[in-house]
Amino acid sequence: MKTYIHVAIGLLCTLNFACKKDELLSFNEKPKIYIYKNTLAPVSPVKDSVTYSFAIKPATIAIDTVFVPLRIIGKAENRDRKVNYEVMSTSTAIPESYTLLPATIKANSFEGRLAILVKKVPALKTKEEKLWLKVTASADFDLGVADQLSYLVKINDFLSKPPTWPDNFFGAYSNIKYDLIIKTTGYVAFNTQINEMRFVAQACKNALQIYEAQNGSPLLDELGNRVVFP
Amino acid sequence: MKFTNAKSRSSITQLANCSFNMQLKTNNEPINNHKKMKKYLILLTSLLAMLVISCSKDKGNYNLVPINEIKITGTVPDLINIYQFETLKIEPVLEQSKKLDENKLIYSWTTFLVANPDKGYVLGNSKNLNARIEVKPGKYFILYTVKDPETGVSFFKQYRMDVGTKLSEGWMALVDQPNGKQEISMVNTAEEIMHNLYENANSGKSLPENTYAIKALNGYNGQLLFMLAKADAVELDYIGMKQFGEFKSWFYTPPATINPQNYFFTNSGTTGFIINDNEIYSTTYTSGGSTLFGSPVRGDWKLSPFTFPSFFSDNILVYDTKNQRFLKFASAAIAPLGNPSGSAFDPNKVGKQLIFGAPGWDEKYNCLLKNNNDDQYFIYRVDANYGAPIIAAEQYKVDDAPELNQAKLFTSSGQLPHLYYAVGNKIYILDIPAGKARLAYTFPVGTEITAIELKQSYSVFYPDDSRELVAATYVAGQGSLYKFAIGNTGDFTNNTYAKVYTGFSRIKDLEFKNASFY
Repeated sequence: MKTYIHVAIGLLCTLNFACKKDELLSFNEKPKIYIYKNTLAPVSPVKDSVTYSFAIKPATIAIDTVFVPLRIIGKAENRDRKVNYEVMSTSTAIPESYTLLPATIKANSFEGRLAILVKKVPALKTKEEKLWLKVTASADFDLGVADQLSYLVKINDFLSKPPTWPDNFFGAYSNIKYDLIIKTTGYVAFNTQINEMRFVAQACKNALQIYEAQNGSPLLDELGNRVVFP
Repeated sequence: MKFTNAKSRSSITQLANCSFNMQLKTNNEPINNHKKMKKYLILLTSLLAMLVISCSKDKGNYNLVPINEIKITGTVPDLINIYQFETLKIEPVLEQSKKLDENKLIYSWTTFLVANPDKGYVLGNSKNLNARIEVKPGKYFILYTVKDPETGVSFFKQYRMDVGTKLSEGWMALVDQPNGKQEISMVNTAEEIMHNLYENANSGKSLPENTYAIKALNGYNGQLLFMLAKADAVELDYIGMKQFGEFKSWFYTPPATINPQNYFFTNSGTTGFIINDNEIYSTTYTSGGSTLFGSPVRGDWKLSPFTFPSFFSDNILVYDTKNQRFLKFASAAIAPLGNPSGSAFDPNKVGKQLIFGAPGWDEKYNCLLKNNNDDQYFIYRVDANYGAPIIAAEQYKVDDAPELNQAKLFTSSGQLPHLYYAVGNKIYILDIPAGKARLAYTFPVGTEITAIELKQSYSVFYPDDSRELVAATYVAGQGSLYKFAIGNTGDFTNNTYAKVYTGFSRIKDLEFKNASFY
């Protein structure tokens, strides 16, 4: 009889002890830093480079700042933390065209940015400078996501096809066409808004009509083709 | 023997530990209390019994009782029209199969917007509804629920409620006041006449100088109300007529010359157009994002304010007054039309002046044209429907139309082959296929007709019956509005007007405003 009781009590004890609360996992490693290349992959493309062109800026701008977003893995802290970064050996940019500014993760923040001063130097007129950067370990951070440690900043002073160029609204890219868009509408980057892109395209078509009426000949692009919008 | 407490103890070890400790304990204490033992046994047995009893076979031997069936009827029609802030009373009649005391039933009255029934507004919780309707104007469902608390079964009745305001629907009249300013008057469907609507809604402000047209448009984003002036235009809130937008704010880059000549939608209301200074601007409402108007589509043309929208996308026909031809507008671009065999005329070479254009019978547009010698009128009919094989559908010569060469006021039936025009104190009806006009009505000598308009809408949301014509008159400083009913022959019923409304200033434009369908 006693045995039964013991077994039964034992079984009841099982019910009591079978469940146990898990301890919460926590991140206890040294914080890590990485370049935040991607927001909504695969919805939006990975951003692994940026182009800065003095050609699409007002002529008075001779110096400007390019920002590269950073994020950390780990906790926010109530002090500013230093981020180290450097120019990679693959970089072909001439030193006169940029200055790396100090980078930090501000207190109580999970993100920050690299700030690179870009300078309008004559060499940019003919050659695009490719400035390869990578974050490096510092006293505050180890390295984070392996494929998000480097970034390419392209600096130039001539027009080049912007990544947002909408072929369906503007047709084939040319520097002359892009220049016409900038001068007519002030737009340097584009989107997929139908009304807005139609406005830009139509404003340029109207500008071309005026050009042709004034010059008696169509506007030609750098390859000698007539500038037209679909 | 003793179990040590290991740091991470599994539940099995814990179980063993527990039972062993218990054994040790009982070994140390002689069994001298059978009662206590029994207690444990009873407790344990009952615990185990619970496990057994918790499942039992469903024998299906329920006591089935018919529920109290409730039928909801009453005299209130299923569609209720009411003005905002009025009180709605509904006294339903309940027919119960078990004749319970009605006070014991649980009632609720909830209303939902037809277009967005996610959110309900409670109107009442008693048998009869007696509620002030404070929801925004629009189309609603009312759900009446009667619940029998004894069975928990609910019975429902659904009503439809159109909440309007005094300004929801009726004839809007743009008037020239003696002080030279313009104002809005209105005769609503309840035949209430209202004046100075703009000033009252806009803290005494006046309409833009030389306002000349009202456009009440119904489209993708609901109803929009525009007032066009010689060198400006404004948008009004369709519910209360408060101004909230002005011409310049409708564009990415406003036109250099502000001369709004028309504002219209495609029939489905998915694309908006402005004709400004004989140039066309468009915006699509279905793509999301900004709905600002872009740049005008320029070319070797000068566009007439009369336009011929289709149902689909941004496809419309326009008339180039410079080269006297029809052109096609589609995908934000203008292109010449083809001239396939079977065309009644070459749409690229019309060679005539467009005097007036508006919807006609058989889903085609009536265009009143005049030759360049100013001595012959024509009606050309165009099919603006997307994909129509023949656009230049029909042409008729107008051989006998008294005073047509002096006419400035026109309106075209969307149902019957007629076009009405007014000169002086006379309204004529032009039988288009016959090419002949006849007198429809003559006002007393000295009366000036200042506007005529048929009740019709370009919008697919409002079926167009074209069976009511209004004519505004002005005599001795007094404006009046006459309503004519149109019979099957196109003539006015009993050859006279059906209603007259007086007390207006000089009416210069008329527009029928339908109740918003939202």
